[in-house]
Amino acid sequence: MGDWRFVVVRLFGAAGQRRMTCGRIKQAVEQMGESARLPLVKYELGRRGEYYLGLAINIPEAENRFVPEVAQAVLRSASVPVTQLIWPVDGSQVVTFLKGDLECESFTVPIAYERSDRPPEPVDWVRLIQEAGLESDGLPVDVNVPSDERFDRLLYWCSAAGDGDGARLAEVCRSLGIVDPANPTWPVLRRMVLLGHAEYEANAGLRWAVTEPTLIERCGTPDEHFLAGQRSPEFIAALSGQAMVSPTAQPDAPRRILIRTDPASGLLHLPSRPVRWIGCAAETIASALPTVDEWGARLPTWDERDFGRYQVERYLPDQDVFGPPSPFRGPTEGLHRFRLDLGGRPATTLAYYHAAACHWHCGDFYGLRFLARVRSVGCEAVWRPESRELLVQACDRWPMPYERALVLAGGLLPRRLRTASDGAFLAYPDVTEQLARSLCALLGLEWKVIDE
Amino acid sequence: MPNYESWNSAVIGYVTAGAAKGSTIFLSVDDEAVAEVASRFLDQPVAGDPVVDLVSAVRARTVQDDRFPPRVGLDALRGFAGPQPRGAAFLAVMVLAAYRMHEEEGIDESNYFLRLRELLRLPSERCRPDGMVAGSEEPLWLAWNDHITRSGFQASAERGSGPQTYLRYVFSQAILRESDKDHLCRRFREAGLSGQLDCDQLGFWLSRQQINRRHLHEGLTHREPARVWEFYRAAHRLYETGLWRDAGPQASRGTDGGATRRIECGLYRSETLAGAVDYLLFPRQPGRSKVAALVASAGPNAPGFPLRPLRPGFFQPLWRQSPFGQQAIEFDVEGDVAIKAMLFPRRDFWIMTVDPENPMGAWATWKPYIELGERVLVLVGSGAFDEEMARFRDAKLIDWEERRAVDGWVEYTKCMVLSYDWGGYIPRPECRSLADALAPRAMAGVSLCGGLRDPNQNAWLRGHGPRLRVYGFERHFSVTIVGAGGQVTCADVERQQDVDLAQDLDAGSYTVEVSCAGRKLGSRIFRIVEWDAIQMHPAPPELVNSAITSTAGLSLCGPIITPVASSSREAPHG
Repeated sequence: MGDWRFVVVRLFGAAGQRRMTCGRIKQAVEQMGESARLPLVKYELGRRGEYYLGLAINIPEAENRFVPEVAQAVLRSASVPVTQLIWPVDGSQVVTFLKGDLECESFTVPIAYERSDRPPEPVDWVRLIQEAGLESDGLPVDVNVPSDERFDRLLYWCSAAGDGDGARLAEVCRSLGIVDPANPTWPVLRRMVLLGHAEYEANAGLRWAVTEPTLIERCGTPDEHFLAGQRSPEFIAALSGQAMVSPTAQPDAPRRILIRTDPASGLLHLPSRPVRWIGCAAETIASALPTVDEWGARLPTWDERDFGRYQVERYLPDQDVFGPPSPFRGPTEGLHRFRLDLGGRPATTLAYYHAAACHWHCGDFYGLRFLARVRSVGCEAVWRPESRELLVQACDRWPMPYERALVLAGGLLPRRLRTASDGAFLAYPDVTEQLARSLCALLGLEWKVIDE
Repeated sequence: MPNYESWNSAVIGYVTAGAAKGSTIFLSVDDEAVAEVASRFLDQPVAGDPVVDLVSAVRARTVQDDRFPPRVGLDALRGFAGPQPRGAAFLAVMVLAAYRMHEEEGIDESNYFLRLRELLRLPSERCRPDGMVAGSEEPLWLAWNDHITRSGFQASAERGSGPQTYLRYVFSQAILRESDKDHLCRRFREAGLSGQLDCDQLGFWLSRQQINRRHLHEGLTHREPARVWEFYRAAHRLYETGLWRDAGPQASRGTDGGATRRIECGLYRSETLAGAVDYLLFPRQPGRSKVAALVASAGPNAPGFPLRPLRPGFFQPLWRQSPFGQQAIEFDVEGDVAIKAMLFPRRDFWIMTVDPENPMGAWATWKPYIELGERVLVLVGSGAFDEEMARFRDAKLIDWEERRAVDGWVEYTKCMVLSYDWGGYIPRPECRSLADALAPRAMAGVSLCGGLRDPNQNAWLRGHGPRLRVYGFERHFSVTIVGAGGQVTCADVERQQDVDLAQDLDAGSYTVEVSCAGRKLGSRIFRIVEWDAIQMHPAPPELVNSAITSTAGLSLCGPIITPVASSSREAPHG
């Protein structure tokens, strides 16, 4: 730097006159719109009477032989004589003329520094996922939902981005009008994971990645597959060109794209991307899952010792509510909610106490609630052969690994049903009797078959 | 012999290969470029001189030899063949003619057309070829610019005025001329340059040279950083060949498309939730190059890591790398004869910007230069450069949010350049390169933020367009936004104030032009794409979840149980 050259002139005048001269130069530069080429002036403050003034010239192509005409014009209009100009003077040599204290008048306007807004508190996704629940992703009752393109677009965007973190996803959801403070991001991602479109890691800022395009066999219907993972309008159009494609709208999630074709028919070479074919993911996952007791025993343990600082609410399985807060009075089998005020920031921990093992286990709300209910009041499920739906009481919503298998049976989220007694059920479609039987066995559920 | 269409596709592929989305693209073509296109981008081999072959293909399509004098007809080259503009190969020949102009030849029509005629083997005259009336080539340039913009890049071919109304398109694309290259070779040789400068370092060296050649001087001191950078890049390609060490007259043109290159590396900043910072080696894809699958290793006996594309212009970050070393480090790269090594330069400072595709993303060396109003992270070693940063701030040239000393180096986060007056500031001699890199060249710039971007196309999605903010060294600016349908907005705006654009903007390209007192100070092109045009990520990372809570310990990647319990496509950070 110091690349600008200066045209230097010797003048006479007291401090006030020097300021006025510079003011006139500034005015001329501004009037001529030349602040880029003549960006500043420096002048001496010290000596009495005589002083040097240097006008910066930012014209790289200006020849050393002539003072640039624009500089002469400015000086002339500021009533500075241009007969004895010293030119060119390099930035580093200006000090040989301009000595002592200098005043510098810049003709450009500096940019204002923009302080970033207060950085948002880093989101503790692990805790947030734990706390989420109480039907926070409340599924609408309406079955015939109109297509909500916001969720299709969300999946298109995720398919384009590939991966990201919770903050980025939240930002995109906000842009699409999907989330607001009352409708947070985690349930959106949870639904995408249940549907096989994405996978996540809760311990790293909620990192997520979209899965590659995969056609999953619809449970019990080997000639039908639904699309999970990446998609784009162009990709769906390409699929449509090769097979019969039927989209099904569903609430708060991307449409299910169902195709009817045989994997052997060669639908593996779409122009943009290869598609992975897998069999019935629901059955594959169900066959690999442990029993619910094994699952519960392997949940992360909570090694808290200082319970006195918490307010504790005990979950009442028969009523499906948390009891009133109270000080901790020793562990009892079941789900507890521990609340702590960390300097104005409330923190909540959900933990299940397994009395036989003398362990506290952590997990998400649905999973721990299921443990509490299945081990105290018992849970049940109902299978409808006609519609191949498995009905689960909403308060018995299954732990996520098991619910994944249910949702992947047909690629649709459950619809919510209300009974006359105002009970709520979740109805999972495309569940075969065999799948229902094996999952209910893993979960230790009673299950019934009800003909319509 | 490859036909015109083959050359056309190859030229288009060559010019944008390895370029990061959003970067400015120049159709700069010289003899070596044509050789590179022939050897790497053409489907069929070329027998003999590639330039002769290209010109023959162009002649066959455009020159009517059955008439005398022969006529040039461009009608068949207008518009697009599929997504590609038909005229790219012809335009490349036009630029090649400018490349062959001599230094002493003034930039005027008569000298230029003499060279073009010579190249096209037309009767030697100092005027336009017959049939090629003034402006007949403009639709080709407009189609070229349109293609570049639609591909997610910034177009650079521009119309001039007066006698250079149409010739300006050509000269705006011609970077180094043949004689400039000879000159640079001589300067490199006389200066005894080491062989390990990266493009930035060579650029800094060039900026400090007294260069009297007009075209070269103008390019190296241009107000548009993208144009200056293109000159640096062209000079660096020449430097990289090493042929300038020989004093022969052909030192500047001996590569015949077979030159070996190095992959340049920068840094990628990774920060854990707990705030621990790591710097990772961040290789850039070599520009204008088509490379095979590459494997890099940190040392002779170290394991090899595949270089996986992160996105156009970049490979995924590799291993941890100390930002400042005593000397440049060359890492072995295997897999392509044209790539001989990966270079991590010795630097005194690094300037990083935030991921241009993700405002909440990582700081890294995403861009070769900074734009006005942009927040950057400056990383310097403790000592002179750290002290110089304090002097910059005292001189009110720059400000930052936080200074953070880590392990012998210092991070200045969220730095903003505030003043235009860097030219009047005298830095310590050893810190000039840092001052040069931070000093603004333009008087104003446009920043686009907000909205929802297509992550792969440097474009915004329809219905979710950006907000606009002007940064500059005046208080008020005029902003006009012009789309395909004409002017969309014309407004006087205050600097650093958000300007909301209409959310119902149609898909297409829009040019934002900033001016003050009738003088154009800056411009920027942005694009809105339909949702139907969104493109899938070519290879999303395979994230495997085996958390008990959500998978019961199965290694799940969405609907699939995988045998791997870790992210199989993770870069080896460690």
